[in-house]
Amino acid sequence: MKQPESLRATFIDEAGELLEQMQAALVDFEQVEDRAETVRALFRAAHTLKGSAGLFGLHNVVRFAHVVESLLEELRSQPQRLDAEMVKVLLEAHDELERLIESDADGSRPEASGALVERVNALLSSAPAAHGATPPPAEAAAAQGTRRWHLTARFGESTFRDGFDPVSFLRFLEKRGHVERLETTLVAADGPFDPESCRLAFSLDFVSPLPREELLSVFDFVREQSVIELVEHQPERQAVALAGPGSRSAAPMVKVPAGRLDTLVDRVSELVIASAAAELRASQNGDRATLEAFAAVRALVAGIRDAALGLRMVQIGETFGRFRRVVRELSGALKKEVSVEVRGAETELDKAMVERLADPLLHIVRNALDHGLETPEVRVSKGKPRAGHLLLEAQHQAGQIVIDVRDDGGGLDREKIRRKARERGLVPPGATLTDAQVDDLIFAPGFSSADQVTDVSGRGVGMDVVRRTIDALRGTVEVLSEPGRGTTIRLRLPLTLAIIDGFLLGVAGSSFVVPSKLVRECLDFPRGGGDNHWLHLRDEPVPWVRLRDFFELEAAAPRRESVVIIEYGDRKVGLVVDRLLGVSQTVIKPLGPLFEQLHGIGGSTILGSGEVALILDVPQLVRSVEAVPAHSASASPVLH
Amino acid sequence: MTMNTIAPTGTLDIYAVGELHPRFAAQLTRGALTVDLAQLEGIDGAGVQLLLWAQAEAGRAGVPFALEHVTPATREVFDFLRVFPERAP
Repeated sequence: MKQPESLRATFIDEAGELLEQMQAALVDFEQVEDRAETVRALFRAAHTLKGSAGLFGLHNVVRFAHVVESLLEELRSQPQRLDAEMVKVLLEAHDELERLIESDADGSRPEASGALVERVNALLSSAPAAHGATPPPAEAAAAQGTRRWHLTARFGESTFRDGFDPVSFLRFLEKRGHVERLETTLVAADGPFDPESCRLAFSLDFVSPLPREELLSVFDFVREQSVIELVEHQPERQAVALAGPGSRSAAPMVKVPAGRLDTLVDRVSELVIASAAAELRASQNGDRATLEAFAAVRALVAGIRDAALGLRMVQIGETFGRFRRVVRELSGALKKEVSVEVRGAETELDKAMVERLADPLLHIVRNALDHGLETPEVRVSKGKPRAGHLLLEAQHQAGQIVIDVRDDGGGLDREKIRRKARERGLVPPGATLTDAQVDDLIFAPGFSSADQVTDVSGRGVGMDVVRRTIDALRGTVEVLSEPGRGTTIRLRLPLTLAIIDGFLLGVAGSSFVVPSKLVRECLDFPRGGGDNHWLHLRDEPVPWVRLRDFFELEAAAPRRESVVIIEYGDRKVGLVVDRLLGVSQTVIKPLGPLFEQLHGIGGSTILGSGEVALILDVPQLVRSVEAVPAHSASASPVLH
Repeated sequence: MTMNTIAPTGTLDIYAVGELHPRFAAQLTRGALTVDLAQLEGIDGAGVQLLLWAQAEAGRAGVPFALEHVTPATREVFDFLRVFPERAP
């Protein structure tokens, strides 16, 4: 049976730890006074190992672990029987288990040595059971394949008083799978602590082959009063083939403090700059051999950079998962019915980014619930299903990550937005706004269209904070709304905060950088070029901006100019520059607080030459370029 | 055992927490709480909840809180729930 690679790795990792515990208990048995404790430790290890091996379909391991476990179970009631001779056999059994698990990597699945099975069975005081006669229940279950689940359970206040113990429900669940992670929390409550009111909540990840209904049925007795949520993890990538020896799937996992990864990424950033500087020097000296050597160094450095950044990549699914709970609680408070769908939970992005996204996403989800989705009564009267639908979706798109939060509610009420915006003086009187411009007003500072200020949102601090946060992450947020059909909030973000492949542009003696993934093409800009800021690119009108004018740089106009077409989302913008300086790895340094207000600049970097280049804030540029009104296109340059 | 110690006996469950809670609360106001679990025969979710509350309350008040003499049976429950991890030796 093929298993998801990461699960297998987790199993191998865990099995290694269990075997180590077994070995330690056996080796130290003479030093430990409490022999019963040694036996218990051995039994726990063997029992757990058998359970997880079963879930992974390692039936040969299960069969042998079962034999060992039977002996240990008997010893539990007579721990004094554990002697040097028995320890010797158990150590051999330990080695055998290790061999069986290791050999699974090449798929050979050998059976345990029959002689050893006999020797272990011979140690049983009761009549030796015919070996392999009773397959453990986990084995039967494992044959159906395993699924990974995330469960959050907030038990109702009356749980204890009704005679239930939340712990026993979890124990029951443990017997039906394997608990990988469990977190117990005491939920904060208003008022004084009442020890007889249950305030326990649990969040756990576990592996179980059982169907959803069967797992949920565990909680049948307390489901009325409790909030139980069960989410299946998205199936992970299947291992291409059962791994050969030494392959990654069998490699042990290593836990590393996040701080060390950050240090590594910092060092790699410095390495990128240093190697660019060295390469530049070689190129200035015209040293061909050194330059060739540097080509190899550059490739290696790029590889290290990607690998280092890859270490910090985490899946967004966990963040999405947290919102399920938020939705559950909020929909109750708002008396709305909501079903949540998650797509692309396995999409990876930088850990630092995920952390900074949590709050803005929370604002967006709250808004969707509060303002977007209608009450069940309204929905039914409009011919929609009672329960609203909220979709959280993440995907990679041309070097960016795109996150959509989509609801199927009433859409933005543009009339109301217009009215409120006028009342608040956000739009000059008499101005006519397009639908898109109206929709964009929800991001204006101080804008809130809720008729009543609720606990959930509607304090007018939501969406403008979202935009500021996303801007700071060099991303964009936009709203797509269809009256009566729903609203989508779309975030576009760079994959990482630290290093980009930058495209270097020269303007009036200064250097600017745009992420090279956004550059579509570079063309000669016709002399003059007209002043209406539109050009025709193969019949497509594209707005352009001359960076020299945009940043008010004073220098003589060059003899010829180039236009760099950048594509951001579904928009194209032309940047007119003096010179194209090519691609260079760019380590992004945030601007100091002094320069944060600089319009159109998102950060700075140090070039190999030691010169400072400014990184263009593309989203901001795109927005300001779009603000240029469209003229008649007659005088626009035509490019092919 | 010191003056700050409370040592519950029997089973720390829904029937016991009602009586223990005011004792814990009173002891916390005296500046330290140690719960001696040596004589404990069993513990359920309500018992674990009371200990979690006492720990949180002590943390809020900046008062020392400790569990001592955790028996293997109680340790097994703690470990299963991933609460009160054993201190590194």
